[in-house]
Amino acid sequence: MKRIVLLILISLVSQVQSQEKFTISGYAKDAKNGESLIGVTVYKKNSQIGTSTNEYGFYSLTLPKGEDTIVFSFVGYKTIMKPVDLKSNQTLSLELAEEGKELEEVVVSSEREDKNIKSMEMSVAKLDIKQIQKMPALLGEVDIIKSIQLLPGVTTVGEGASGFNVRGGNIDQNLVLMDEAPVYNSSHLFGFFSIFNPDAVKDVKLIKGGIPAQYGGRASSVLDIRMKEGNNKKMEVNGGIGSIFSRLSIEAPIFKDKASFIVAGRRSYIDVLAKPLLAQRQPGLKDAKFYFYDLTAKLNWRINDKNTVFASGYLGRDVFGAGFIFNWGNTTGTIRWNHIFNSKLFMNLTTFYSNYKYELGFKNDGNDQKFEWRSNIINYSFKPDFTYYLNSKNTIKFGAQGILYTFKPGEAVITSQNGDESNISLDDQYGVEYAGYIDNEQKLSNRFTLQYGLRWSFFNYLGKGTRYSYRDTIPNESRPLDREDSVAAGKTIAMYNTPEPRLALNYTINDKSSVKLGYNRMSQYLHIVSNTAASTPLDIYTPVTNNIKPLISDQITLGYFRNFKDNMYETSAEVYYKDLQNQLDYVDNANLLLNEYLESDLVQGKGRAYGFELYLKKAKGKLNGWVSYTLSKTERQVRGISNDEWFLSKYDRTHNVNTVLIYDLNKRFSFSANFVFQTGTPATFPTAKVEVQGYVIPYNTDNKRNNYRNTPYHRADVGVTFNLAPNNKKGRKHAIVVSVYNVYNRRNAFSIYFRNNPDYPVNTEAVRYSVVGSIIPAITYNFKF
Amino acid sequence: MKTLKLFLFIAGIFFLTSCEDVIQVKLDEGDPMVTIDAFINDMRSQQKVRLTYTDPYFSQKPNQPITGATVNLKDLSTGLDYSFTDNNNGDYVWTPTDTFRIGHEYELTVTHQGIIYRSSSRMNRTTRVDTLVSEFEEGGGLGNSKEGYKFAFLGFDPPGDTIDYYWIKSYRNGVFFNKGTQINICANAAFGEGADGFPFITPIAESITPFGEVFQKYDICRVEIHSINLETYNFLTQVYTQTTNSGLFATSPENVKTNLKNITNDKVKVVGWFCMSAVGFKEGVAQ
Repeated sequence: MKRIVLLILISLVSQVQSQEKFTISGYAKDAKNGESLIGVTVYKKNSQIGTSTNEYGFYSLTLPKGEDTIVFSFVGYKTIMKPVDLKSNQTLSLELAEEGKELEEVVVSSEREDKNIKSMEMSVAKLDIKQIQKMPALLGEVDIIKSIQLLPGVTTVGEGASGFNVRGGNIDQNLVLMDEAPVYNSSHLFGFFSIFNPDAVKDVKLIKGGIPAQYGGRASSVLDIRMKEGNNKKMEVNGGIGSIFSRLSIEAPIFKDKASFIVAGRRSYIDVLAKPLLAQRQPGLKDAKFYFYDLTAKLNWRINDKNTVFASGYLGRDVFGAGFIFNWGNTTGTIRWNHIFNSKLFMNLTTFYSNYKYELGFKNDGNDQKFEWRSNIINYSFKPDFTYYLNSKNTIKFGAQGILYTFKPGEAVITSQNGDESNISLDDQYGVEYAGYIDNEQKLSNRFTLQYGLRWSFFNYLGKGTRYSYRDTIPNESRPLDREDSVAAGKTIAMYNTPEPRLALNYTINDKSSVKLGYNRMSQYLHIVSNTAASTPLDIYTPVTNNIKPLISDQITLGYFRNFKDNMYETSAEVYYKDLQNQLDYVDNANLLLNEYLESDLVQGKGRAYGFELYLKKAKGKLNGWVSYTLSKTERQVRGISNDEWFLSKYDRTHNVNTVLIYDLNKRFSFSANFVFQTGTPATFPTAKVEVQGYVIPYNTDNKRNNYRNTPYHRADVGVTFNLAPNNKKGRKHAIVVSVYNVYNRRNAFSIYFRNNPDYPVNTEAVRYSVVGSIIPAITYNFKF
Repeated sequence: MKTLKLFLFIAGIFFLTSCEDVIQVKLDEGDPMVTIDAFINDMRSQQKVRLTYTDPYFSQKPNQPITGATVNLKDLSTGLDYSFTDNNNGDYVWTPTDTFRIGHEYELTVTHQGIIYRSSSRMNRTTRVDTLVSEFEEGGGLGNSKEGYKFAFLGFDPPGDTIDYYWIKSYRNGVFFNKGTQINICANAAFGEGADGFPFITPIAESITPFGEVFQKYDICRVEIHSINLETYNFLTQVYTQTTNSGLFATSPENVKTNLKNITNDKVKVVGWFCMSAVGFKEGVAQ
């Protein structure tokens, strides 16, 4: 180990001392709309020396003095070769033009499409928003989370379940970032649609392993979603009219090439359509509400070459009501400042606010009885991130983050008909999370690249609050309270810290293939509290406390990457092993809502997940898409549950096959199809029935959890995009998308439950519950002008 | 919580075509376990303890009765013993000659094949049903409800230092609404904590006419408020959950707890529940 450190140090120093060098830096943007381009490869022609643009489109490359040609390449865009004469540090910002369809036949030999081979990234999936838009979607609504679920290593417990599970991680273990602000519930309508408006999304990246040190706070994955900045050349309007909701987005320059904005909104309208019908059938329902909406807005202002400011916000809610109120949603606001200190040092400073809130209430109009309940999780954060492009061989990233949390687990008031109030609210909880990191990506040789970093994270669970102490009891029973102590505001109740080493290694075998190895430790200081099959909008988050320990995961990944036929086909094979500590589970009959002594119902256990992922992608050509296969196992062991033995976690799926095919027939038509096959989710089935007070209760005499599996899940969808104006010179687009979800009408089991036959109560039966029980066709009209 | 589940369900069906099908599943068959079903109350009617063996889940017949056991109830406050008679059909009965007292602790002892099972329960105070009201409602609308009379009751939870727990049982023409979905339990006058000294909240008061049920003209509705304790409240919550555990937000199935212990050995497991309840009741006619 010491030797390696020494070697690294020597190579660092030796590089600094070599011949005279200058730095070329700048931004890469889209010629059409001025959007900064993320991940453009920038390299010295005919060499291995290169870099790529960061999340803000910035790059910096240090080269020896002299004349050279710099190549800018990006999939789907025309490659630019720029001759430069390096005599001093230079700025070179340029715009890349989209590759026209007619150019597809021309082979551009210099194009660097082997990024998947050369980059450090492994276990990373990027989704092209244009490709997502062509895929068949549920009810015709393009959906980012649903598309992610078609990637290897990603599963879900079923349709309608919110969130997604990455390599055996629970849904709360995904760091979902929308322009750097975390989102706590990414679903509309429980889990049928995600909150991200595809018209406002620029880039989607899912990191499953080898997670760099700049990310932290969740144990399993990072979903980094970047919103569009807004067209800074001309006004652009995008929209669509669909079966469930309609979308509209407007983007325009404020000062051409300097400042622009985008505002995008969606609203469902089934309530508007159903209103007359409902009013007719039952007058009491004429005020029934059921809709959801979201609004995304972003503003950017390029003050000068060195400073750019972004402000973005999101507001979304799901609203249900008919004699009751039930609504939930996220609000986030982010302000970012990009500053270039010099051609080598780039800074992004982020401050964000994020608030997830839900409300539930019942009101009896007749006698003024009321029940009102609301819960929030509020974050404020400050996050400076620096990138120092030391030289062409070392890129150092460092930074820090502080997050202030306020958890409002429940404010609840019951009001009786004579106006008496009973307040059963729980106390707010406070916490501060802070972390610092440093990370270096170092080219050791033409073949070896190493990325090593350390993140050190801290969490303080703070007063004003109560420190609860519980006594031990027999496993799987609620622990009895020993004592309660109140703790003053700002005083620490519990404190944790975790050093999180990160490591990635790329060994490039040749231009076509590479081997990558990754290791990361991640810690997580908040847990979602949910014991239902699908997470509900009412789930609360709890911080770590003196009774709840942080979740820690260690993951090691090994992958082989190979491209074929001039990068026409990209393939990868990866294996991973993940170890999880302190995963949350629940004692039997746990009471998770509005329970002051919630911690006494929580237990923590171990988890392990391992698997093998195969991925084949055809990136170019009329027929494109991917096939992926995952073989995996996810297990847990918790004292007191399932006889203390390892049991399968609820999202374990042994086999998982995803196929996405898109065929661009001509400018007018494109066809798409998906096929998904997944082993059924584990389930606990009874072995006996108990009769008490006339109730027939299913009972498992072996006391084993997840001893069976639901039937396998498989489904196919198809879609056609019909372009009405394929040759419009002004870039206007009209398209009709017809999609059919669940083409062969499979009734997939979300769950199987057991009951007495309603007509012959002595008979017991098994019932399969399918969330989607029929073919779902849909038609959507999309426009752009 | 069940009201909430219902609303979530209703919200869900507006949008999608969820469906349920009865399917064939092959299940392991667990070994039979002794079940003791002992809910005893202070009413002047025959009291019953029922003993059965658990049966494989798909046996399609009532569980086998256990005969030849002895069942004894002891008032630990007075030392009085009440012996239940074996009816040779799984029922062990006792016809009141005395009244069980609120505040007294009772101990149940069941002896079967040399093994002694034991549990104890305190009889808590209850409250009375002040009035029963019925109202005629037209059918249709959300959930396509039936046309008929719907009953609700009025009553107060008496204020106090500790939380009172109740099981509100309702009957139509003497027939108990015995589905898992129809379990109506509360803490003080609402769900969870709070609402101490309040009138019973509307969802509880109206649940005596379960969702989807109605009374016809001149039907008799009977409501009984059984006092229970926290453990029994938790047990009935578990019974409710385990018998209605379906849909998107189903929880991981778990075994219902028991408050009966085999005090002879660790080998033979037992299931079931013992609870002593005081009862307040009222009857009304639908009109």
